[in-house]
Amino acid sequence: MNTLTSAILKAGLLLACVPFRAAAGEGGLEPLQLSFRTHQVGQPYLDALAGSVQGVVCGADASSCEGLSRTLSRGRDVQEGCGLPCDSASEVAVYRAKISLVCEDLGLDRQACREAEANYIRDGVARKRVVADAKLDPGLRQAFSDKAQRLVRALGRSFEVSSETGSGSVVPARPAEAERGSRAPVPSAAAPPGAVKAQAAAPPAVLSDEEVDRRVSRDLGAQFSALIAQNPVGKAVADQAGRAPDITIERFDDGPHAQYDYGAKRVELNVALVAEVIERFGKVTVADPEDSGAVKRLMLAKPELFAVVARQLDSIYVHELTHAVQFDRSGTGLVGRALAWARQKVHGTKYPVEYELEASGNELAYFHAKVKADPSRLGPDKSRDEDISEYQEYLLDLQAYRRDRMKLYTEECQPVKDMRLYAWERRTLERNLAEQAKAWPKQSYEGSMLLAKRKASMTFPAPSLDFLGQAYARASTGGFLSSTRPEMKALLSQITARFESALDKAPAYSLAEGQRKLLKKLSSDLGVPLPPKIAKLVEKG
Amino acid sequence: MMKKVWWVVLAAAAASGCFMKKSEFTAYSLASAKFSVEYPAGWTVIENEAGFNPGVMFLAPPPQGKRAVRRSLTVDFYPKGNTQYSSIEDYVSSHTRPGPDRSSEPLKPAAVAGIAGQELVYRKPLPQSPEFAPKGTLVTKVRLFAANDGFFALADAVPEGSPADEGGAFAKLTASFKLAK
Repeated sequence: MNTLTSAILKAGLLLACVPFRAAAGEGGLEPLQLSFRTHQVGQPYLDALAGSVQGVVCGADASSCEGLSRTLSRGRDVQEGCGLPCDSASEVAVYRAKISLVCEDLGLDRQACREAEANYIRDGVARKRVVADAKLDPGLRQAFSDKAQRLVRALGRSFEVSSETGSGSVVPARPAEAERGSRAPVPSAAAPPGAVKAQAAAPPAVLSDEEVDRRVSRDLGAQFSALIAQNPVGKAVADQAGRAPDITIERFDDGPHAQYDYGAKRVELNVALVAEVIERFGKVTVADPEDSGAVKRLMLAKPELFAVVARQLDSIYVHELTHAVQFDRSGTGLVGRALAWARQKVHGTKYPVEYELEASGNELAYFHAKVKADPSRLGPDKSRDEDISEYQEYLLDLQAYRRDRMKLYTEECQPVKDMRLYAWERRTLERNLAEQAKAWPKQSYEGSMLLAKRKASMTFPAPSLDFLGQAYARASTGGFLSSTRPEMKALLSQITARFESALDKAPAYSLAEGQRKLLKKLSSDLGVPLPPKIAKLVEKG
Repeated sequence: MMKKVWWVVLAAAAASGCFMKKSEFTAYSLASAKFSVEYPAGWTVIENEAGFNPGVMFLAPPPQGKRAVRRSLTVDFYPKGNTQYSSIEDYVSSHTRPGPDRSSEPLKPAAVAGIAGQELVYRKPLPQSPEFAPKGTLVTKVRLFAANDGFFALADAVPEGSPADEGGAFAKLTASFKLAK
C-alpha cells in the first residue's frame, strides 16, 4: 500500500507538472527553495513568499504560471503538515512522496531534499496539520490581523500577517527590505509598485482550482458547523451526521438552490444563490454570478464572505445535512452499500418523499430556533424574503406545508409505502415526522408571537393582530393557553393602544370584517378592554 | 374543396378534445371523515397522517418533460375542536392574511352536495425547497361548507397559468362528493 500509493501519486502528479524553472530565471527560485527546505511552523508558507517570482513567471507564459501555482499549492500543503490523523505508515509515505515532488518541482538536489524531508518528518514522525479554530468568525480574524499589523508597525518592524481563513495565524516574517533585496528584479509592466505586496495578500489568484475547491469546502464547512452547533436543531442533525460532508459551489442550469450528492457525499450549492447572498448581504458586487470559479476566488480573497454566506444558507445546509443522515441511515459499510445498490436496481434514483418532509421539517425547525434566539433575523435586512415567506407558511399550517413539499418532488420521489426496499425505514421516518408534528404547535405559537411583536410598532398594527390571532388559535388548540395568556394579553394591550393613537390622526381608518371579529374575540377572551375609538370601530365597522 | 372542409372539421374536432381520451374517475371514501368522492384515475392518493385532521390529497401525475409543481385536489374535514382551524371564518382569515405576493378574491356563495357554502380563491407564491425553487404563484380555489359537526374544505391548487380545471377534475370532485351516513 505504502509504495504503491506513493508511486501512483508521484507518477500522477509528475505527469501534471508544468516546467516553470526556466521562466523563473537563474536564482529566481532560491527564496522558495530555502523556505521549503527549512520551514518551521509559524513561518510564512511558500505561496506567501512567491510574489516576485510569480510576477516574472506569470509574465512569461500561462503554462509556466499554472505550473508554479500548482507547486506553491503543493508546497503549502506539505508545510501545513500531514493531514490528520496521519498515524499510519501509509499516510507518512504519502506525505514523504509529496515532499519529494515539491523538491523536484523546485529543483532541489538530493542532499537539499533529504534536509527538507528531515525537516518535515523527524524520526519517522510527520509534521501534523494544525486544525484551525473553526468557530472564529473570518471578520473577527481579519480584525485580529489588522490589529497585529498596526502593532508591528508601531514597533517599527515589518511583519507579514497572514489573514488566510483556515490558518487563523499571525506569523512573523522576514524583514521587508532584506526580502526585497534578495528578490529577482520585477519588470515594471508586469508588476507595478505595490504589486508584490498585493499579490502576497491575495493568494486565491494563484491557487489551482482544486486548491480553491478544497479551501472553500473547508472554510465554508467550518462556518456552517460553527453556526449550526449553536442551534439545538442544527446540533442534533450535525451529531447524527458525524463527519461533515464536503461542500461545493456549482453552476446548476436547472435551478436548484442546493442538493446532496450521496454518491460523492457532498453538499452542492448553486453559485447563483451564493452570488445573490454575497451581493445582497455582503454588499460586494459579483461580476458574473454564474462563474463558480470567480465566486469561489472572491470568497477566498474576502474571507468575511464565508460568514455572510453561511448565515444566510445555514438552514438550507441543515436540510442537506439531513439528507446525508438519511442516506447513511442504512449503514455505510458493506451492507449499506449493497442495499444502496439494490435500491438503485429496484427503484432507480427515486427515494421516499418523506425524506424531503423530514429534511424540510428540520430546516424550518432550525430557522425557528434561529429567529427565536435573535428575532431581528425576521427582518428583510437580515434574512432572505423567501426564507421568511416559507417560515410563515410553515407556522400557518403544517399539514398544508407538507403537502406543498410533496407537489415539488415530481420525478425523484414516491411515498415510502410504495417503495419496498425502504420498508424497514418507514417506521423511523414516521416516528421522526410525528415528533416534528408534536413540536410544531409550540413552534407555531412562538413564531406567530415573534412576528406579531415585530409588527406591533406599525402605525396601524393590523398584521400584528393577525399573527396574534394565529398564536391565540394555536395556544387554544394546543392546550397551552393558560401559560401563554399573560404574554398575549400584554401584546394585545400594546396593539389596541397603538390603534387608538393612530385613529386620532386617521379617523377614517377601517378594519376588515374578520379583523374586527378577531379583535372583539381576543379582547373578550384575554380580558383586554378596548379603548373607546377602537371599540367604536369594532362595533360599527 | 370538399376535402378541405373535411380537414378543417377534423382539425377543429381534434382541437376541441373530441378525440382525446376522456378522463376516468375512481371512487374514494374516507370513513374517519364520513365522505366519498371521485378523483381522476392514476392520481396519487395521500391521506393525512395521524395527528392531523382527517383528509386526503389527490396528486396529479408529474408533468411530462419538465419539472413543475404538481396540481392537487384535496378534501379536508375539520371536526369541532380540531387543532388547526376552529371555524370556516378562522380558515378564511388564515388564508386571506395580506403578505408579500399573497392575495385573495372576495368570498362567493357556492354549494357542494346541496349544502350551501362559500368559495374562496387565494394566491400565494409557489412553494420552495432547496432542490426546487420555482418562480410563480399557486392559485387555490376552495369550497367551504359546514357539515357533520365541523366543516369541509374541498380545494383545487394549480400553478397560475395552468388551464382552468383541466379535465374537469375539480368539478367532478365537488359534484361527486357525498356525505356518508
